[in-house]
Amino acid sequence: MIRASRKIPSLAPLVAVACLVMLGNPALAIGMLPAGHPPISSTSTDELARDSSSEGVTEPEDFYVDTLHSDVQQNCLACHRSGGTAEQSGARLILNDAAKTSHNAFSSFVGLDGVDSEWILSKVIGQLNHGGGPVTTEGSSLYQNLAQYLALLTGGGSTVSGEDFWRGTAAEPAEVTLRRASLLFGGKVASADAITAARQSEAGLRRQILATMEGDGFKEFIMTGANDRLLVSAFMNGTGINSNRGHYPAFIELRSSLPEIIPDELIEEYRDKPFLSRGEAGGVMDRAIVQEPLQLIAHVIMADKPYRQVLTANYTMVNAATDLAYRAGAGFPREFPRDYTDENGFYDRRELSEFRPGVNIGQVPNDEDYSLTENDEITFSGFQEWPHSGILSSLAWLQRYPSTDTNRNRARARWTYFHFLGVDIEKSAPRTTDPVALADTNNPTMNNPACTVCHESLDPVAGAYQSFGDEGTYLDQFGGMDSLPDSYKHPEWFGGKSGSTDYREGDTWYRDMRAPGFNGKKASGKRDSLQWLGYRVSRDPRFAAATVRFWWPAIFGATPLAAPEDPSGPSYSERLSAFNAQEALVDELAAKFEASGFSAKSLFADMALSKWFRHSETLSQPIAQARAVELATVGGGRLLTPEELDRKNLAVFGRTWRYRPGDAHNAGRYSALFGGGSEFNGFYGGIDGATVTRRNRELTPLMSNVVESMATELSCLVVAEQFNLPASERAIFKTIDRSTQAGSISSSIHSLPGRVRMKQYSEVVEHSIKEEVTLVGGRIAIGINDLTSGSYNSVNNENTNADVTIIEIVFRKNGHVRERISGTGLSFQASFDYDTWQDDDGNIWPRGQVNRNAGGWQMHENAWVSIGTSLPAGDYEVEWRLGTTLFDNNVNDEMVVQTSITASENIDKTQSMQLIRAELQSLYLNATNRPLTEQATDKVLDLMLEHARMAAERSYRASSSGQCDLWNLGNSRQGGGHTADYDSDPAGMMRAWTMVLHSVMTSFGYLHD
Amino acid sequence: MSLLPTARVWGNGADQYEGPLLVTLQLDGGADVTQLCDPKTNTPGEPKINHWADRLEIEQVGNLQFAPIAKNAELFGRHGADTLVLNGVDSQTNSHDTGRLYNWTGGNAEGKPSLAALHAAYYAPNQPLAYSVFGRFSRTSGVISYNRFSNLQVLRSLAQPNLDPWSGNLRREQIELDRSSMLVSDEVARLLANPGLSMRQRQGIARFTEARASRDNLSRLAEVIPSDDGIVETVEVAVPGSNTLYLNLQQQMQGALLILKSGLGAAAEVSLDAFDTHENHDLQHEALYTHLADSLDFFWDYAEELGLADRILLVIGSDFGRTNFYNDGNGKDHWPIGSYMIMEKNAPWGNRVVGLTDELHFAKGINPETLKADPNGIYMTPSHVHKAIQQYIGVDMFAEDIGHGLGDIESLPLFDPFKATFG
Repeated sequence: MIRASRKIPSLAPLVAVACLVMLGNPALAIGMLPAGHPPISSTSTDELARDSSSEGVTEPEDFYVDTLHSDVQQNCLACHRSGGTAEQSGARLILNDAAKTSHNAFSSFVGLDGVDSEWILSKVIGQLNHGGGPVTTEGSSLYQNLAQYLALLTGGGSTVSGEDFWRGTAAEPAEVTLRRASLLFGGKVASADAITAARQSEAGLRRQILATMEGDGFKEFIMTGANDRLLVSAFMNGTGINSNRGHYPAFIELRSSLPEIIPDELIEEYRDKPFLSRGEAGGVMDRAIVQEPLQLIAHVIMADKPYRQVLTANYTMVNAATDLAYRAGAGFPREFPRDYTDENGFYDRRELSEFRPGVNIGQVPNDEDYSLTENDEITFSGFQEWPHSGILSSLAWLQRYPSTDTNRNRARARWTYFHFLGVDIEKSAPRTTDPVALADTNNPTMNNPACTVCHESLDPVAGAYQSFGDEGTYLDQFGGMDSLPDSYKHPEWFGGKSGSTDYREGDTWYRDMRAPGFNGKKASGKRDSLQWLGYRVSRDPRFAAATVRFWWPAIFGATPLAAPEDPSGPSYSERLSAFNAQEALVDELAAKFEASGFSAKSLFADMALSKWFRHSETLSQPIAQARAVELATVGGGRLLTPEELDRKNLAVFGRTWRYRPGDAHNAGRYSALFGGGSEFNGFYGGIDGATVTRRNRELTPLMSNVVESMATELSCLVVAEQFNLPASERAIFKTIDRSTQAGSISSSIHSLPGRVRMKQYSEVVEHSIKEEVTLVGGRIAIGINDLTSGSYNSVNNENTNADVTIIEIVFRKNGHVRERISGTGLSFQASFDYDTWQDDDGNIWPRGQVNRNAGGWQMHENAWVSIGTSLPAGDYEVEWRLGTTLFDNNVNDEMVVQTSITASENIDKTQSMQLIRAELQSLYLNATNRPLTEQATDKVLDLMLEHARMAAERSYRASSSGQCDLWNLGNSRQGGGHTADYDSDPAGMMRAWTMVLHSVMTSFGYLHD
Repeated sequence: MSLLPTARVWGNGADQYEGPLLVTLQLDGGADVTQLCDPKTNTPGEPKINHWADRLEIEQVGNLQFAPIAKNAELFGRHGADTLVLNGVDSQTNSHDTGRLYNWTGGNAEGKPSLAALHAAYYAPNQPLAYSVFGRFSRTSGVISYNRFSNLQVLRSLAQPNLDPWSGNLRREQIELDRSSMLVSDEVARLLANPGLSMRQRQGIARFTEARASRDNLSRLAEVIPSDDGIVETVEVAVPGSNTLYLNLQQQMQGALLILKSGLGAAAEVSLDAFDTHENHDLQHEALYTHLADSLDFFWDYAEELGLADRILLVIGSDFGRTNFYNDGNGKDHWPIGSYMIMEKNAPWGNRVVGLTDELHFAKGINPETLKADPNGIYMTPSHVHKAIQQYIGVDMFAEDIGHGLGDIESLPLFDPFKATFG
């Protein structure tokens, strides 16, 4: 009787076992479902057997042949073959490529002393001292098929996990999924149309998710996610790259044509643009080379090419500079550097951001014809053709894992297995401590079982990289025929014995290592062995699942779970359950990925539609709570990475922290959280690819301070900037403006042209402004605010003046005057409020007074007044009669005045209040993916309006705190008059919005997906 | 609010932590201890293990032997009395990842917290920077969260995020900050009132809330971080025949000590990279060991200056060792046998060596009671070392309680001043 997988007896830690065997098999790799096989459900083996029966597969041999053998071939045969590592280590199960023979082997095997179904199933997951370590996992199709096969073979039943991992959980609404996916993939807030379409059906949701996969935002997602795995950003963070520039004649020719350094007379201009000197040209080439693997992945995905091309593409990605150096012929319409530099030799790095497919046929070999002088005079025999094999042959990939004379490309092989086959050789192969094995000097990686178990798989793949030298250069040794080091070819040059090497003229790989190959097959054909390898790996059944795991962190926000290894460790069974569910999903996604023709976009959509992404809700809280470990990384709620937070800032608020758009020096945008020099990225859990390679995904107090710092700087800038933009260009505040306050009935800005002669303080230019308003009934506040910029500035250094006089304000209804407010009588009105100033003795004075000669209340420069009155509800015409006293020596030739009418009663009935409410709800929904309830809206509004009222009661400039660093808006800012833009806030609404935005930016909902 | 069953995040950290401190120093890449604290000369008929042994003899200070290269004489001369050397520690792997894991968690399978995480979780679970990571390694296993640091200047500004660094004024008015914070709390309350909230969200909210509650105390950091002039710079070390190394170990040490000084943390991890010398082994190791000696001087001097030296236990280890012969590229490859060095000011157990290796640097057995050489004894592994350290710093029972103990591992009296292999 096969027991449930969770009842596997507690055994010695796996790692103590795996040291005896290495990767002859694809340890930790997950078998794929055979083509056409239905998805495996979480049912018992009994049920599975019934299912099989109904399909007519009742005989164990048939089941083995039809369903299991291909997985066994893929996962077991490398060791469990005649003469293989398993047999050498004493294993009794010997299989071969013939399905029936292998079935017979299993039949005989089950029933040997101590061997039963449970024993075999324990072995394949790495228990019971299995020499090959974990070959698969309980959640995999291989495991379940094997359990079913053994049940058929022994006539017993199986209780392989039938537990429903997803019990007590539920999918979030389609709208929420789309909102999350849109921010994740496209860096955008989902549009209303897209949400409507997504709500219609699952197919509609899928289409809308796929539609988010375009544009610069999607490219950023791809390149960030790929770099998290490949870590080539190390080359931009302190790790140098050697691009072997001296072997590119086109580059040498370019370099020799350039000035050594920037001429002295041009140094001032360097601030604006980089100068293309000889040294700079080298940097241009290096920067392009570093980007090649990420650009290639982005190209394949964005063009929706088969993802296998990331390993098989017979091209790389070049910009105009490497197009020149490589002689790539990528078809750039402009010639580098001629069309990229100005007359003085300056250029713009942004113009080198475009990458196109191209080939590298620009390198020359290091042979007897090659020479390069200090004056850049180069001679060479001919050009080499770089054998492109997707990212595997890219210099950045090769140099990220440099080799040595003794490492012999094994690091490259290790990471090839890890990223593209899902096999972690290091984790599965701690080494022996057997002193005899350690002391073995008879080429142990070839001969000692303690070593061969790994190296049998690892070394052929290392050999496939044979054409590339330690630093990744193609055929880098003298003569340009191979990349074998002289220490191997000529040991006598290094103190070794002459003739002690196995090297023979014409060799391209070590004779004391396994031949280049993969999966038991030797590399063959005319292509370079790395191209052969790339093709084979991309066709390996493990490639699809490995791709799912490669992109798992980018989409699910967590490292793929590892199989728990210590049965006595905390929460072992829960962790195992989560791991198995994950692996089942990986299998399922991999099958769909394969069926889609290896469309990465399709895979991403399937991942976003999966339960792991969407099951963000729980049906039964107590059950879910009891499963905290199992469900820890399921559904929404992960902490955004600094890059994701940065993209969200841009999407939701139109601006991010310390945002700088790309400029001539910096090709891409950058900020405090994103791009080169992002000073807070590392503190917020980011990686640099060099020393920090694992993200911190749990919020800490220090990280909390990072977002507090961000909100402190950013919230006021967003408010100032957004209100300064035309409504159609805003990310928020699309239906309101800076003066829209609760109860606001009208608010408009008026230009008042006309000037008077100097020193004529009582002379006014009269203006009449009429507008239609709808009052809601009850008390209203009438406001006038002088917004004129530079009022005190004259053109002749003499005193000047810019005052507004309120002559009268008249309300008419149906042509009849209902209210007339005289400017000369304002000071007697109880509800009159006005701007003030404070003298050195602390006395408070009004900033204005009645000037009968001017005909009303004359306000000082940039002052404001508020007048209260009460009128019944209805439509009115209001006439503002104003006078301006703008001296003719003033820098302005007109004054700017804002008029407003605000309800003090029945505020909820005003359109402005409804707009503010809607704006608030829209803001929360876009920022947190959750709607703000009416009750919660009321609460936020109450606090916001209270804050506005309090803010309006005092002069903003008087406060030493709360200043907004408007200079940060820099060149991206629209319009002028920075100080007036933020500080002119008589109703306090800008400060109120700033307070609200600060809270949103630091909220849980905003910082988590 | 529910947390992971074993999760401990932070409390309000109102009081400064004043208990024992732990710093671990990872010599990353696999350090050759035969050129440091387990010196080996060449054996006739065997491949050469050390070039230095062609011309120099092993040296000794007190009971500690060392290789006569770099600044080892200065290192052991000054610190030997406070140092316990553990030789012949078998990490049972040649894999960097597994080696780091084993040497710093005591287990070679994923799932256990690092020694520093364990220490922090026991002594200072309520402090916001209980566990600080400056190097590459960190494992929390849910017992505590870690903070990673990269730049002390920026850290200073983060300690008081609402202050303008130039004027010292609040960048937002206090009432604005208070109201904003109130809205954040309201949102959390609304979320938690939703019974359909997922576990991931609940756990995230727990961390979020506690992180916010603890951050006020970070302002203490601003009081201890010096001005830019007082921050140690990265050291450039030119290795003949190789690249220039840019080593920031001393800045890491400074940051770690300042955080410990602030009373906000109890444990820190620092690292010195570039020991994976498959080529140009001798020159690079010599440069690194010279820097290590300088850095240990700096560490203890600075700790003394900050008044912390009496409270610190410093544990130095690596992934594993390096082969007992040179490869064709004049480098050394991976070798599972390595050493630890453990330091404490005025340690009664200093000036001792426990564990031994033979002339070819194979581990040899020791008696688990006497710690003397014993062919029938045990081979010391990182598990033994961790168990002894856990017992010494008093976290062994805590580790057992939370499921991360080393119950079946033999207890070795590594810190018994009267027992040793040498000394």
